[in-house]
Amino acid sequence: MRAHDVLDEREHARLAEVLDVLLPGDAERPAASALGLVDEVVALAARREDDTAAVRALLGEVDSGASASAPSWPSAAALSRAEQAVPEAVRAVLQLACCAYYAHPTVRDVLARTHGYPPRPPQPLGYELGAG
Amino acid sequence: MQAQQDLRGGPATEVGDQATGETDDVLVIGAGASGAVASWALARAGFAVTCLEQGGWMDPSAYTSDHDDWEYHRLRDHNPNPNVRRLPHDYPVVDVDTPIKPLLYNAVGGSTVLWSGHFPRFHPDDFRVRSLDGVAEDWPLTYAELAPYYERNDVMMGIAGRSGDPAHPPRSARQMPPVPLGAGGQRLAAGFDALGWHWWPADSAIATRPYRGRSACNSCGPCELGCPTGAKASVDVTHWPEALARGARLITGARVSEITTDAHGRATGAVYLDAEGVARHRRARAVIVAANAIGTSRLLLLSASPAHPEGLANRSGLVGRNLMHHPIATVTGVFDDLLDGYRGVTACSLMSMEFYGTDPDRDFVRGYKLQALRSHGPAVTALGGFGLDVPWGADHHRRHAELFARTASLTVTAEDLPDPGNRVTLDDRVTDAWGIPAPRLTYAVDDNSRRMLEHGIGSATQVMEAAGAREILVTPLLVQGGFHLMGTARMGDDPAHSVVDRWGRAHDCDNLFVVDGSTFVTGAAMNPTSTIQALALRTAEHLAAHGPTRAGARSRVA
Repeated sequence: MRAHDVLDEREHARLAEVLDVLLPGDAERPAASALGLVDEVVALAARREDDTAAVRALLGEVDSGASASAPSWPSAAALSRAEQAVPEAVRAVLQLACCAYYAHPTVRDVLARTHGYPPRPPQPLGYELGAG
Repeated sequence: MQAQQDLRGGPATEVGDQATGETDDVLVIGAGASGAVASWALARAGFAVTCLEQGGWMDPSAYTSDHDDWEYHRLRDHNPNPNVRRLPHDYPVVDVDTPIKPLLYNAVGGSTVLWSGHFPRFHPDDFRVRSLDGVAEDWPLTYAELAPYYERNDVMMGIAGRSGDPAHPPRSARQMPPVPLGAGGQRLAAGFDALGWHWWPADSAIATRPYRGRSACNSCGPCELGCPTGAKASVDVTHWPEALARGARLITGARVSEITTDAHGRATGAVYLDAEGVARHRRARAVIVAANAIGTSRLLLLSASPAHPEGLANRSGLVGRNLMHHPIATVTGVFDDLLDGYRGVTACSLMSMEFYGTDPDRDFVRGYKLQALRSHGPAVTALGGFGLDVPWGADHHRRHAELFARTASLTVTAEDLPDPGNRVTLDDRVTDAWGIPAPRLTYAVDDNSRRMLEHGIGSATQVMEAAGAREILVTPLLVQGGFHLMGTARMGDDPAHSVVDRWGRAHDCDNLFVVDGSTFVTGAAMNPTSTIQALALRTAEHLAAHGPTRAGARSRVA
């Protein structure tokens, strides 16, 4: 599934902004946009109707809040406002974002360096646990 | 032969057994922890047994713990909550009136597909709480009566552990050495030791060495995704292969809508909807229900008839009542060093009985278990893990970096006393995909449990402090914590105050049996699966020895 099969260009761009507010970068870790995470998130959302609906609900709330009295967008304040209005949608999008972000090879490499977390899925190799 | 309406609204469909002439000695409904044991035991005894399971067979090679997006699957299609998972073979559970959400799985293997394998037994005192503490009811059997069945089922499941726990009666040597504590478990053990409190390596249904064709656990972590190596004892691996080899028949994709009865109120079989939604009737001399404490009570309530107007076997009015969970709090310690808690079976390392049972100096009756938990992968950690507070936004990465792989947790698992107001009913609006009414939960955590959890949080906090945690995070009540479903068709000697007798046989229907957690009189503070399976084995062998007339088509197998 391509991202634009689910969202139009404007929605796609707006979701990318949302993801950067949720997961900005810092000195160690890249921002969502630096990873092109929006395509991964859209692909995950496209697997289930409820997740697709959550993405649309969040984007709709962000757009509806773009009034003169609303916090400027993109901003954490604006997303917090959306979180008050559609908490389940924000929660769902955050879940998709974190699943995509922490499965990304670049982020795995960071976690391997900072936390010793092997940059691979748990199986088939499993982990050593010692005998204690 | 019965005429059954296609519940999707199609034409009436003549279905039945006349085409094959088959009548089972025993029809088992549900292929999970208890249904597998019952089917295995009856097939082994030479009975013609058929099991109806609404889910299908799991394919371990398709489990997703080797996928890059494994944490997505854990949160979505392998989520233990059927209302989140929403797979085609799931049924919805209306849970708006309960603070604890139901967790279960529908497949061959049932919830053992998803569980972590923590396998404690009930304590002897758990069977006599009325006598000891003046609350609830005593069970109509004792630990000593059940102990031989625990032992034999342990051999089937393959238990890792260490015998000699002074907090429990003696038991045979465990089949395998215990699951390693790991760095987090060792840290917590040191905390318990510093306080002088009991702890012991937990019995776990995990192969720590190759066992009966199962591989040894490689400590991958996410048991909830299903175990691709077979190290975890899910009953699709431990019981069903032998049950089928012994002649048991298993029909998957069979969603049972009604247990049928004759004019005298005796069970005659069950109607199920096949994968196409066509109603079929399977005839049997006896019926065993093994559909968990939600699914079983739902089915009994759906099976009302002139002989059973309030639902099958419900003359007492107790079908669906006394639903018990284990209210759970979690206390998580954050440590300076890396504990790598994403490694190893999440819920299997050590447990403490220090606060088990009643202490008159406390402001609650009965007690709780403390159980160590490891932690999660990076995405689930980011989303809150066991009570973590990782924000989105500017502070996300800093907080994630200081929590990921640096935590260990304790659960406070509280004994939930039975309350007839906590119950399963049939929802009058929500149905499953085939139009069968969904179960509805009405449940509240009582004051005794809340005081118990509060005390347990204090105890677990002391352990974390003694273990050297630099920060302690508390979840007062685990919402996604309804793993343990018990009590909705409880056993007893008095038909006015129980649904089934001491053998799991319905008081009102002498060829109907219940073998899942529904029969529990009280819930103890222990994970229930080992007790469920021991009871199922006991019931099946009793039925084999004393049950309704069997066909005798096959000879008994030693």
